[in-house]
Amino acid sequence: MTLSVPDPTSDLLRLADGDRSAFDAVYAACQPRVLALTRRMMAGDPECEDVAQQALLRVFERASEYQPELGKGMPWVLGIAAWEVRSWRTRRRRRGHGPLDPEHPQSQGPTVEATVAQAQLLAHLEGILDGLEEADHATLMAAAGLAPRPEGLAPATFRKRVQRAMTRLRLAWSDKHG
Amino acid sequence: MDELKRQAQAAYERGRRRLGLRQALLVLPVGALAIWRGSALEQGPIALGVFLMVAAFAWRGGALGRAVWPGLLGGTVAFGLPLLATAGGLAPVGCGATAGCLSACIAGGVGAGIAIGRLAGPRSSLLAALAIAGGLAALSCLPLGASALIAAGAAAGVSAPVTRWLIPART
Repeated sequence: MTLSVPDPTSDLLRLADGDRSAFDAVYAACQPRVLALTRRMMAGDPECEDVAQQALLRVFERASEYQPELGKGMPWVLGIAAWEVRSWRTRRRRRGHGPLDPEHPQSQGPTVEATVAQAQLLAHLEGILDGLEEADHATLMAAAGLAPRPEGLAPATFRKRVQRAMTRLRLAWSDKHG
Repeated sequence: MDELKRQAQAAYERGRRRLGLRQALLVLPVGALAIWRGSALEQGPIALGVFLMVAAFAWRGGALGRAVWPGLLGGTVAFGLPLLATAGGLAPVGCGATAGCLSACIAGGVGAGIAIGRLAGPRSSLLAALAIAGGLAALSCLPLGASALIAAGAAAGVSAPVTRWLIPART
């Protein structure tokens, strides 16, 4: 599970400043999340690992450009990864492998803005989830199918727990983002 | 270490080199102006030295990297004032230890020192910023005479720490 990975903002700032000792921490925080995002956006495409690798290299190539004004570290990293997926889609279309129907522009996939916004939204959501209590976090992960359901729990009890966890998630979200 | 991590490290270093080159490119207009007003043989190696120094400091990062901007801005002051004095006829080339030459370079040095002392935060290397500024000052002070350059260096070397002590930088 990638959601318990710590926020890399401070390490990313150190790396941008030229502090090479922050590399390992940034790598450990970013690598699983970039891979998870790429998998999610490419829906199991066989080229997913290659694109994730490319995205990660791009993140580190641009790490020196990171500044606090660009916002928190993870949305910035995932924005680059999302852009890389978008570029892969464009390349694929140009090679003639992807859907290209000029009559239906929506068949060309989401826009760059939508892709980056989606990545940033996911990163914000992960930040909120990390701030929830462990039990709520586990319940929501299980409800989303990202973690196993607790054994021996009645479906009605589980539903109730999901409902409560969702309420707390909504409250945490509105506390942070209005 | 796995292959991807090694590649990521190489990508990071590639990004650092690019950053170093990008910041060093700012030296080029100053160097070109100095060469145009002086000679490629005298000013060329100094400009190249400052270019390499800025690229290396920016690539290395940390206190050295943070010194690049204050050094470049202070250096532009130290380069500009003697150049203006020369253009205005106040300090002819090779005037050495005459009042006009010395005052032009001292003013440039004090200006550079104040700029560096004000802009270089406590986590920046003052020495590195002074080295960059000194290199840029040499581009316009050296043709006036070695004593003028020494005077500029001394002025910057004194005024930078004094300014930093009197008015601490915000960062």
